Amino acid sequence: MSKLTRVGVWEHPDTSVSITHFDSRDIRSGETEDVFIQRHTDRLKLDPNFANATLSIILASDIPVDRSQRVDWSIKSGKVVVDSIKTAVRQAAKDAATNKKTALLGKLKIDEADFQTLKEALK
Amino acid sequence: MPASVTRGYTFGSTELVTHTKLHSLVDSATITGIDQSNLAASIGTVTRSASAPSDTDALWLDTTTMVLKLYNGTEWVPAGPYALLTNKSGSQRVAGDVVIVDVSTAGSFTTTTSANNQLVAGVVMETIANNADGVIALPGARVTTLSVTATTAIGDYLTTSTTAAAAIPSATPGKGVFAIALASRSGVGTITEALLIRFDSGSTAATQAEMEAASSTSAMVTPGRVQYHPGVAKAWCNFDGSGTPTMRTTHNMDSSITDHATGEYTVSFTTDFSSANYVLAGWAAISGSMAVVTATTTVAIAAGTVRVGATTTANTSVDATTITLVAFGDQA
Repeated sequence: MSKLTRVGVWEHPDTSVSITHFDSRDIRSGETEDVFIQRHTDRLKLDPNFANATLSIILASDIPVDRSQRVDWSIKSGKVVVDSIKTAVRQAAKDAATNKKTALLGKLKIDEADFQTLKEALK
Repeated sequence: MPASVTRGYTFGSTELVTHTKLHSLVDSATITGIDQSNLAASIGTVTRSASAPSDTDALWLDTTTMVLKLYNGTEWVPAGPYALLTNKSGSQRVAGDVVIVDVSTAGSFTTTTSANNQLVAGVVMETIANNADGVIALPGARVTTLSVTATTAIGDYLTTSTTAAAAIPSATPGKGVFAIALASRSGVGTITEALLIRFDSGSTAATQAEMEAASSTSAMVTPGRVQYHPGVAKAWCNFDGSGTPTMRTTHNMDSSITDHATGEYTVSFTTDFSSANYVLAGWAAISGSMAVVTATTTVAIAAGTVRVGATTTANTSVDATTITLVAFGDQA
């Protein structure tokens, strides 16, 4: 296995989380794992995608195995967890959008199928 | 002194001559006391001397230079990888001097102060006065005196230097190499053994700038610089974006991958581009279906890293099982 046991966790200003999976194949001859991690993350910091992100190096075992809810991940006590607040906020926003759409369709007196037909016609 | 011939059979005064006795007369005869003078006038010999022999049919091993010479009807000329050339350098030359072809006078040589000169004639084998003829060792010859301008190691490649008549050593081959040192020495002076070679035809390895300019039709492309040509991919990779993103194979790209969200990754180059103005192409696939490599919602490309996305054809982000990327552009 070429993955290191540690990963880099980036917390972005918009509260999203990115995970850097370090690969031992990138370690140069004579370079320690710590030096390699520092070198690699220093380069990522030059990328605008990582601007103002906060980096933490944690164990790969401290991130959830299930990646399906990555959008709701947060760092709590040095571990990555599914943030129930994020989930709730995201769900509320999704529900609000659905409700708004349903109300709009009601005003137009059309159903979802009609809406999709209309949408296609307007393309 | 004449040679002695001893007959193989002696007949008596009244003895009958038979073919058997005649055969014995010839077959058992011996010749003794043959010396050089018995042969010189008719078939020629090899004369080993510091001065030319009077017998112009002989071969002459000149013990001053250890060069075998023969008479061409006018003068003694070297045999083998040597030439008799006229010194037009403007001063006397001595054994070990490196000389080049004098392009202004036929059959002559001169010296140069140009490094890596490609007109090297060879190495002077003896003292030759200005405007006089002398022996020059050519490619293929081994010389026992050769002037150098710096410390020389066995195996060093020798080219002309900015010092007239002296060679400069180098551990690497290149333009104008005419000899390989077979002996070492410390500092300026002469090495005691070198092999003259016809090594370099003048072609040189293209520099990074020449590769990037992509216009030279004479410089040679080398494996270590081919990547600088604008038409060559500077980096490529193939990785699995599902599960924990894992690099399968790369060229000039790191295997470490940052996973941002479903179908969004950042990969990095081992050697950066000179700016963010490079070209990226890609292809993606998920099991049993086609996917598309896209710029992500956060469009950002840096000289050393790039963020890419993978979507379904319905434009939904997806963790593709295969994502390939190819990058072209100018490297730092």
